[in-house]
Amino acid sequence: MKKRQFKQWLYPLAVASLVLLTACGGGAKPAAEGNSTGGGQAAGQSQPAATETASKEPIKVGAIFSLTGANSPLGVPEKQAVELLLKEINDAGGVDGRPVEIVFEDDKSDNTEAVKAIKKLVSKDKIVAVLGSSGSGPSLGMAEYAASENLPMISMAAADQVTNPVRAGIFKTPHTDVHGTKRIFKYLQEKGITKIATLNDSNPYGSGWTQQIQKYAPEYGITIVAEEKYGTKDPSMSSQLTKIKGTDAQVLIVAGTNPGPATIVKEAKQLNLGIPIISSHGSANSKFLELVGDAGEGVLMVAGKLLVPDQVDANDPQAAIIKKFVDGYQAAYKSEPDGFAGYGYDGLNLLVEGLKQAGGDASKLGEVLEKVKYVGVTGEFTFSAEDHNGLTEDSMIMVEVKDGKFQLLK
Amino acid sequence: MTEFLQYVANGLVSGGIYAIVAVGFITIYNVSKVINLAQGEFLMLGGMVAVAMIGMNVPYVIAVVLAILLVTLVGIMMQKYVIAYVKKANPISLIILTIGISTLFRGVASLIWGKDAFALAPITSNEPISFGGVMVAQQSLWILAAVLIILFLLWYLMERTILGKKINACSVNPMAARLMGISPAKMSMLAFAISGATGAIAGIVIAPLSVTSYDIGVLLGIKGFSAAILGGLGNPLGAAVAAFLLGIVESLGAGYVSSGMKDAIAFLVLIGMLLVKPSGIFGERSVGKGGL
Repeated sequence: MKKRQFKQWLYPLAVASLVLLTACGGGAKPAAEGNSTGGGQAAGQSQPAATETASKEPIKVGAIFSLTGANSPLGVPEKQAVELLLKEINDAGGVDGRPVEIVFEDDKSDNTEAVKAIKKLVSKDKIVAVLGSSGSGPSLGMAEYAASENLPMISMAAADQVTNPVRAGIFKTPHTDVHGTKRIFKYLQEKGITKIATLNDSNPYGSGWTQQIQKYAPEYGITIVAEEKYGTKDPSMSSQLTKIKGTDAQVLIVAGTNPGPATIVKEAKQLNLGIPIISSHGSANSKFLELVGDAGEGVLMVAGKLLVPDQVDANDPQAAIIKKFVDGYQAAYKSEPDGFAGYGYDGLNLLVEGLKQAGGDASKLGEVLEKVKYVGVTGEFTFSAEDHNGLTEDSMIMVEVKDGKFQLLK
Repeated sequence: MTEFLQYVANGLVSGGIYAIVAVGFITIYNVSKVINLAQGEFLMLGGMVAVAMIGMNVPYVIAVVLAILLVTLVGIMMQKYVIAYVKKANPISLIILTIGISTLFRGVASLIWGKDAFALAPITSNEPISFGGVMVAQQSLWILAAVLIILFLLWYLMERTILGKKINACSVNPMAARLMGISPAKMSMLAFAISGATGAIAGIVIAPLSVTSYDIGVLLGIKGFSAAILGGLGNPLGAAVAAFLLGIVESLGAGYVSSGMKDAIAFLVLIGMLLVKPSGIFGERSVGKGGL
């Protein structure tokens, strides 16, 4: 009887002490919103993915993506791309004859869950490096912990702050709002456009864009004549558009993730806005085309080359890897990969490339990756001690929506 | 001046949406004293079911009618199998129960249709109409038409028919109503059916203007509820007027002050008004101690 009672207490006690230990083990102060590890349960379900074919001990890597919640349209393709590439890597013999094993976790698009997941991966699964997460908030929380644990991390989040300021061992694959802003401004310069209006989401992604646009506009001789915001869930943005219509802006820049930009494009047509709309890479996918319908004709967009794989120039250094990735992804999942799948693909490729150059020693990964040059599906990565994103705005393209399809602008 | 009128026009459209939601709240509240916080989910279900059916190649009109009927049925089932089942519970428990149901609806919707947003084709063409420089989407006119028709029908039902009198009787004194051979449970079911139907209509007419997704009901539910409170809970006309007011204040706030602050401005006005007149603009209608 006593024994049973003891057993009943044992589990909660163990969990509680685990939480306490991991919370204390953090050392440095993690991001404010990321540290409140309230609950006792371990986050998400883990799914060991690699089959242990080789006799040698596998290299264990963690991967945290937003598989459910608001960021799931990002996280799901990322995981699919990573699974596809993982199989290919292990079939080719892994790294130094050792297979790579990935433990997947779902952060539920939540900052706290992401930090819980990375703590679990470190303490329970003993991973040597981590991929993820999909969103900027969860990634920033994870980066704080990963940096304090000297755990190499490659994020798939857009926000510039993930790798700015640079921290040892923390890298990211997607284009940032800085690249997007500069690429759009270059285009505007070519067209001789100097007056812009912005209508950005008030979430971290859109606010990031607002900041970068403010910062770089003077450099390109551009004046912001209206700077409006909308809430992610707002059903209508027509008042903001009415205000913009009353200004002498020559073009409207919209930064947000779907469905916001699609709603704006539709309403702009209803209000007869009359100026071109340029949308950010956050909305550059087939869902956008589906949502806007024929109201989308003529909308411009800044994006990675993966958005129009069949229009990439054959002489482009990225052409080969993009073709290989798109073909493989289509064969496996019967759908076209989007930019997010590409971020995941590049992330694992970079990690494996780094591990190979470090001779399988993950502790050297942080230093090695700073010297890695890698041509990926997102762009040509050239990391350095000052740049842990490795991309430039030249790897982005401008596209126009024509006949319901994305058309590359030369 | 054109700009000002355009803001007002935009505000009238969002106000119209809030008005349908608010009236849905009040219809149920008046009969059963339950504040149905799953009202926003009726909108979501209406829009999503219509989109799903059109996706299965069901003709537009039939899909819309089926979606409205289905959501009406959902409303009836909700009353019959949940609300009526716990008739001894106090109103607070019932309200919390409706929160649970709204979460359930959202969860089920996200399982069936995923978390993506969907577009619905407009009832008539996408071309806007210009009224002396003020641009209005054709769909917006449909929204306003839907609001006016719903308000008129509800007014007619409540004020001009025996059925309306029965509903009123249940709300004033359920015991006396029962003695007169009126079943309060049936009237409550009718109220849920009406709420479901109006909610579905709202969800369908607003979907083409922007997009619809599993979670659009949350924000619209809050806005509609605020309008219902502002107008004086229990008063359909007051709720409709308050809803239009809320929409216009939001739109003007976004236009003349700051778009980042538009919700803050709208709710500040709401709080201010309630501080001055706690029972709402038109005052809470005194409807006895009705209930199930």
